[in-house]
Amino acid sequence: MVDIIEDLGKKAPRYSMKHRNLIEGYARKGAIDYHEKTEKSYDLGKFFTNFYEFYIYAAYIGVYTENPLPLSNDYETRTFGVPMRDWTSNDSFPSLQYLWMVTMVTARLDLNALEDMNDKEVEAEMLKIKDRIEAYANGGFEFINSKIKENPAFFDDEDCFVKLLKEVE
Amino acid sequence: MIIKSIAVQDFQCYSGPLDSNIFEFKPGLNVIIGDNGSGKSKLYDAFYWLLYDKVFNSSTRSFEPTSHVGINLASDKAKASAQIGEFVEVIVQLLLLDQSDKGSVPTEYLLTRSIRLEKIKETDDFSDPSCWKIDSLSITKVEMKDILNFKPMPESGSFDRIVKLLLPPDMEPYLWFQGEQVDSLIDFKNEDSLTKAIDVLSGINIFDNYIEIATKVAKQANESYNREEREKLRLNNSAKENLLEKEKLEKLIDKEKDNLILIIDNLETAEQRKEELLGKIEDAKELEKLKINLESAKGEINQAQSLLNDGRRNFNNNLFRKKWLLRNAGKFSVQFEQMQKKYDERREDIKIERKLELQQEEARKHKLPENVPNRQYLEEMLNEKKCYLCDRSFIVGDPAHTYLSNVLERTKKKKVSYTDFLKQDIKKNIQDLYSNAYTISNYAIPRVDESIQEELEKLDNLQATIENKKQAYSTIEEKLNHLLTTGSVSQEDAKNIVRSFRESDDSKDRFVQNKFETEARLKQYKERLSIINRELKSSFGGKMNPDTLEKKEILDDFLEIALSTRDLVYEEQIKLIEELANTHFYQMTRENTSVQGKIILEKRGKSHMPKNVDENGVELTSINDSNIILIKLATILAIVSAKGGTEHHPLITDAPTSKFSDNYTIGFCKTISEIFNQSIIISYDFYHNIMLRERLLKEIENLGSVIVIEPSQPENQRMNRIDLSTKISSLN
Repeated sequence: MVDIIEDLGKKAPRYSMKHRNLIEGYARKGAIDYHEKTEKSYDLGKFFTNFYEFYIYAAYIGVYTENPLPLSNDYETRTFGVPMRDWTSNDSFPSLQYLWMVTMVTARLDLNALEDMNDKEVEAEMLKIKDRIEAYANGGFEFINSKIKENPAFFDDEDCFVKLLKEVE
Repeated sequence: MIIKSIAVQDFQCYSGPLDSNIFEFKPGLNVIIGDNGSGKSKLYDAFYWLLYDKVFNSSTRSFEPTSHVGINLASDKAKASAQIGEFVEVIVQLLLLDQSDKGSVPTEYLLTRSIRLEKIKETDDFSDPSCWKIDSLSITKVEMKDILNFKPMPESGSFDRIVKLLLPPDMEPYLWFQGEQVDSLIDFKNEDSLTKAIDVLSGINIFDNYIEIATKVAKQANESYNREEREKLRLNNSAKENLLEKEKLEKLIDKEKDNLILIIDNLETAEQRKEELLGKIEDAKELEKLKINLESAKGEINQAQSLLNDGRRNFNNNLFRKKWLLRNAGKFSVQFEQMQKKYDERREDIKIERKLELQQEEARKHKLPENVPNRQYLEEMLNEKKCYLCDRSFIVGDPAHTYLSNVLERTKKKKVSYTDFLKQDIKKNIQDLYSNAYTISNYAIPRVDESIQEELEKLDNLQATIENKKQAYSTIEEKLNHLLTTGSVSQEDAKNIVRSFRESDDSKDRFVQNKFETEARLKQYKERLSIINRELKSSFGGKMNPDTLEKKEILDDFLEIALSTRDLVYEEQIKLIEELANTHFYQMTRENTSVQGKIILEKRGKSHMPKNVDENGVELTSINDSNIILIKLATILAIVSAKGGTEHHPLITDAPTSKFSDNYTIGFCKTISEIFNQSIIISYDFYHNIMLRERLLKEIENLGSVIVIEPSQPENQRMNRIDLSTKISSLN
């Protein structure tokens, strides 16, 4: 018997190295220590406190723009080396879980069929969900990149990523 | 004695022969005008070198003998153009006119000082001392003009004699000074400074000698009186005790008197200090207050900035914390709800279908074989080990018992669970996902836009707060700068002034208390001594040797007279200086439109401090820097005029008016032009200030020569000093 939430949590989605600079440009690599006054994400000009949050953000952009873009073989792909269950803080876990739900909806996952599958088959389905999350994130990164090219000044404001959400509603 | 001219040859920036560097002066006010770096100070140095064989070293702020200055005395241009074996001769020459003997023809003297440098080696650096051989001593020469020609004066010491005629040594500091020396020349806080001036006028030091002698002899007379008195009382027992107590009391009185002098001295110092600070304390307190306000405003800005930074940093965290990220994702929750509903319905259907199938299967399994009694009888039969049909007994383990047991076991009803007919159960997972989605879509997502707006407003408000606080900071800073520019206190001094004022105030209170206590003790000791003295007198009938008594009384009086005469003369001279200083102060300030007032030199302890008061003695203003310099200059002029030096000696001063406004500068020039037969001032003030220069030329009646000096090269192009010479041009 497979716990699908637990199974999804064990998976580590990949990203295209094509977007590595973008990710590093806007997100901090590690977690932020808010007590450390000398190095703050904001002070470093980073909008996201870690790579994972930017990844989740990009996936939602991919969802909102209905632009799932499967990872291509043209670029090397990598994971962050950490499964999704360990990406999150109390703040971001509900948003990640919501993303799983959204992906299941858009993938039109047959929940009843799932219950008729054996463990391996269920795990394969969850792998497809993970692939779809990757595709959304990839599409989201592509969108952000094109937005940067089109209007670099857009990203000068501290609320740019909030404004972007309004643009893609 | 007046100076007719000074000529210099190859002296520092004055390169060229004597006739190309000549300054001619007339009776009245002569002014040499020049920019910074034009050679004004070098001219002052040339005067000094000629008269005293020393040159002022600006880096050590002291006068150095010619031997220390060495080849630097000579102009670079002359040194650079000299060949090996050639000489550079530095010469300064002063032409004087002595008119002191009114009955006879005025006498002209020519004073010359020179020194020679011989070039002995050629190197790239002409300033290298090893290239030069310099005379060990400068040579002086005095010539006196007979009817037509100058002839050397053969008497030894005639050079010094003429210099002393020009500038008598006791008056020299007041006749010849630089602007920056004025402050220390007349230092009102320092008793010695005024005493020195008064000594020039009245020889006050002679009274100090009288006091010293009178103290010594009065002490001797008193000691012999006491000795005799003790001798007379030696055999009287009660007198003995009184004598012992008398000696003890006298010692105590001396000690307390010393204490009192010390306390009064300290009290005066504290009062004087407090008085000095009084004019500055308000500014200092205000400055301190503004500094604290400024610090506090800075702290508030930093705090608000820190809140703004935190707010900005946390702003994007709200994408997750406040679920802003999901603002467009509400519809998926609805879709998932439908999915879940379908799933649940389908799941129920499947459950029913499967259950039915199972029941049929169960029913099939549950059916007992033909001729077997029903389940209840079968269980009873197996329990009782007896067949109800054939009435035979069983033995556990025989074939019939085993068969019936198996039949019963096989057809037993099982409890059916969902997993019996489905491979997975994701119901809980789906419920969890839905529960999360429900909370977010119903509570977080509908508030997202409002929440974003609130956060943006919060940031805007913080930004506005910072702007306001910065504005407040600027206002305080402006006030602070204004106070620093116009007030009497610098930022560094303010704290010290406030502290010193408090300390002086505390010290003053403490010394007043000490003084009161000491005076009370002294009074007590004196009263007791007086009683003892009366008792002693009665014990020997007051029969002392008349000579001893007379000597004691006369010498006590002598001491008293010496002390009071000295005080009297000192105070008289102070009054004289005050009166003459007021005359000059009035002359110097008459151009000014503000109320002039009068200077009084108020006794403060041992010194005298100037105060500017109106005709009723009410203090007009606290005295600022330029007022104090003006008062000091008036005092210097008072000393010279009291001594009668204005007619016979020239005043030579460098930059005396650098701290003055135009009116004060003109006032000073007018005053010295009126009171001195001749004066020479060297000044920067008239160089760029053309209006002031025009006023000088128009308004000074007794004007001598006005000369402008300019370097041959502007200062910013003066990389190579070997072409440097000084251009001298007369304006009138």
